[in-house]
Amino acid sequence: MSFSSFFLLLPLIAVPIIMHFISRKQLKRTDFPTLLFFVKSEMRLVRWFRLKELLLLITRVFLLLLLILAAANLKIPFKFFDRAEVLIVDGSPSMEKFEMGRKNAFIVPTISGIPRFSYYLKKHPVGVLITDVQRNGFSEIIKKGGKFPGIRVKRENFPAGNMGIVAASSSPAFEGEEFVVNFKILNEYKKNKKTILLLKASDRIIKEENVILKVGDNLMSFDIKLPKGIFAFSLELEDKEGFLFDNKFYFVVNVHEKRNIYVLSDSFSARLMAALSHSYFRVKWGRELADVNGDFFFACDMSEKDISGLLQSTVPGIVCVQGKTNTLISNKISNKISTVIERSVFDKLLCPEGLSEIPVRYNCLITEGTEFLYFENGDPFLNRIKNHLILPISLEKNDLSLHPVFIPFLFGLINFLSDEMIHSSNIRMDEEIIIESSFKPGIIAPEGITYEPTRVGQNIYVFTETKECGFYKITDGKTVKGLVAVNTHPTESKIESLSEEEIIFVFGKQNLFNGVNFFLVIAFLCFVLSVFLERKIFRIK
Amino acid sequence: MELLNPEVLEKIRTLNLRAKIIVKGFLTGLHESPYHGFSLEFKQHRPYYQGDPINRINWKLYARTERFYLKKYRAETNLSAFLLLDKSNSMNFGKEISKFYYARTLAASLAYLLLQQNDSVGLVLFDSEIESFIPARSQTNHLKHLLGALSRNEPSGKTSISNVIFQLLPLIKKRSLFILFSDLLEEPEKVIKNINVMKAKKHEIIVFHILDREELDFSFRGESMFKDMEDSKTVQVDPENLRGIYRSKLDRFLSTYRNGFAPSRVDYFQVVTDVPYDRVLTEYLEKRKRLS
Repeated sequence: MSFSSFFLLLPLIAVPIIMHFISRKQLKRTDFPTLLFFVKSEMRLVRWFRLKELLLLITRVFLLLLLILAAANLKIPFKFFDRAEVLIVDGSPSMEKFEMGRKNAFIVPTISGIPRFSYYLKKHPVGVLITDVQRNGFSEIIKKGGKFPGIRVKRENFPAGNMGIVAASSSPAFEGEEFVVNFKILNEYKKNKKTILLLKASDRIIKEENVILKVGDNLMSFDIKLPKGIFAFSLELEDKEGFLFDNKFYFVVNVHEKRNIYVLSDSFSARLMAALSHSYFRVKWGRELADVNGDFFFACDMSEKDISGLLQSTVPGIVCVQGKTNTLISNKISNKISTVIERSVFDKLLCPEGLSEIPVRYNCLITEGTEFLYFENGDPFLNRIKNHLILPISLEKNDLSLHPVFIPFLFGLINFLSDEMIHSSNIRMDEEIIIESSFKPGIIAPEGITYEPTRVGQNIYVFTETKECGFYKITDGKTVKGLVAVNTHPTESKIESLSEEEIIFVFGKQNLFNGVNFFLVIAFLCFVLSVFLERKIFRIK
Repeated sequence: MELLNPEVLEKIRTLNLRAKIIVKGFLTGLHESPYHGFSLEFKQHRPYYQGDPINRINWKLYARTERFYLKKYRAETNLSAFLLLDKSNSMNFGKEISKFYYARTLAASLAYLLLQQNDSVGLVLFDSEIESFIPARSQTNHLKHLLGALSRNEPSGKTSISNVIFQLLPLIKKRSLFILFSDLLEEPEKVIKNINVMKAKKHEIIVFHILDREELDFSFRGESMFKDMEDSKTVQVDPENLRGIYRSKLDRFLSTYRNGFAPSRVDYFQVVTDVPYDRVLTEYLEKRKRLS
């Protein structure tokens, strides 16, 4: 029913009013010699009678109005009653099973992945809580259940099985080369399951396969070849019986452009050439400085001073020092780089005032001196000569070219120097997005809302409100500067860890306070009052 | 005697005629000759009839004539009677015959009877005060004044017998008979006290307490609004629930009057308006006998 029903039924209110006037007319009037023999308690002065009669009329009208409101099933428009409408739902991803219910629900926000049940249950003591109780904090709610008035607990069993994509990753991707997308799918059913896998890159289907998943973990991969650029990948499988939330996995793949490196050396170094050639670079060898071109160059067997006068104005260079006095220093660098490579901090190099925040990552403090950068112990890191950054390294004695982090570091350094910084990462929902940026970034969430991450330090911003799985775009306000894929935690998919705790619905006394029942309860009270008044007015015992 | 029922007499509009019918009907019904007077003045002899009291035989005349004769006397008017008629609003109650109508007819009948016996009769109509006062006279045409006054007045105002007695006593010097027709709806103690004051002044008093059958039985049905006829106060009651309490309170009220008048030898008669008038007249004559 609705407002139209309400207005259709509204004329019924006239019934008690008409009855009231009819009964008034029917009342006999008798002239009597004296009221001396009337007992006071048994007689009512007419003005009181009129008042009670009016009260009875109001009660009857109100009773009828409430019944009409109940029949019309109208929502109570007062804020006071909102508390009865509150539906508190566990916002963790495994609750996506209840996606439909969530539309009308108040979703408990999570902080660092922990839903704030206690806080919101105190705030909304009457309502419905739906949760799968696997998160921290809910067991506390169950224990304190009695402390939340109006809440009762009802248990329901979990789904019998589940299939979910729990991880996906790709090998380094370069334009024009095939790279591998690896993924792990968990089959929690007790038998092999047949399903369809679908791989999309930026909403374009690039792979579709029928697969049979064996019980347990299934490691699978796709070979992909894509042009240069950043791609939003999503891998989907079909599993209608299990959870829905883990049927889709998001990840970002940055297909890189290959960098050109020129190795300037009198002799051809096969090892160096081989190391640099792998994936990241296109390598050329030559003897003449005048021939140097590409994105970067190596100058082997030359001192910084020797080369400084010869450097071109545009191409940055790395001086590879061999058998000189600073060999010892150069050797140390490779160890230090291993920590640097974990995260990109190159933007800090552009703002010297931010250097003091680096030491944690470099293990020692970097300061600016006559040479561009030093470690605190005096070791040079990067030297600047004219417009060039000089990285003094030794290639032969320490075999730096084979160091596992050197090549990616070098690649990152070149990208940084080329000013092609793009933020891309893959995180879990209970992790925060950390952005190191010289501009104030904005985060566009999957639902389309733009958030401002919190500034937590010099050029460091943190965003914790990753409430939805999907892609979060990092923007400078004009263009997209990065992409972060957010997925649920792999443990969410493991049904065996949930089966012990079951899904628990905590219901408040919502039936008492929802619109219809509320009206009916008040109507009943009105009815009792009207009967009482009627007995008082028309019958005397 | 059916003719003397109030319902039958109600059809006769003229008070005078109604009074005559009542008195004559009443006298016809009596087997014994009415007592004509208690002050004696010889009028004539009449032959003795069987049943006449022997002590009234004139033995001297018997000695002369050897026939039994009785002496017949002319009544002397030495009785002064006042009819006190309550004309308050409460007397207007009555389904077919109001208490006032009944009391008025009764008062007219008594006036007629008294004047027939050459008694002097006066009339006092009152509510909370004396509304109309006609001094006692014994002339035959005095009846016309009395009946005129009775006919003209209609019920109005509140009852205050105590106040009326207080006003009346200074007006009447001679020892008199007061016949009060009222529903006595006032505090009984106050009324009894004032009537006893009259009694103390050597007046004779007959009280006809006029009641309606519905007033006695309280036989109303259904939730009703009752309006006090004297002060217009209206209340809502269920008569069926109230009946028991009402009757017991009324009984207490009536017995207060009955017991209150007994020690001072005031004749108190409860008269219900459906009782034939002759029965009331009989009560009066009984009283007259005792007075003689």
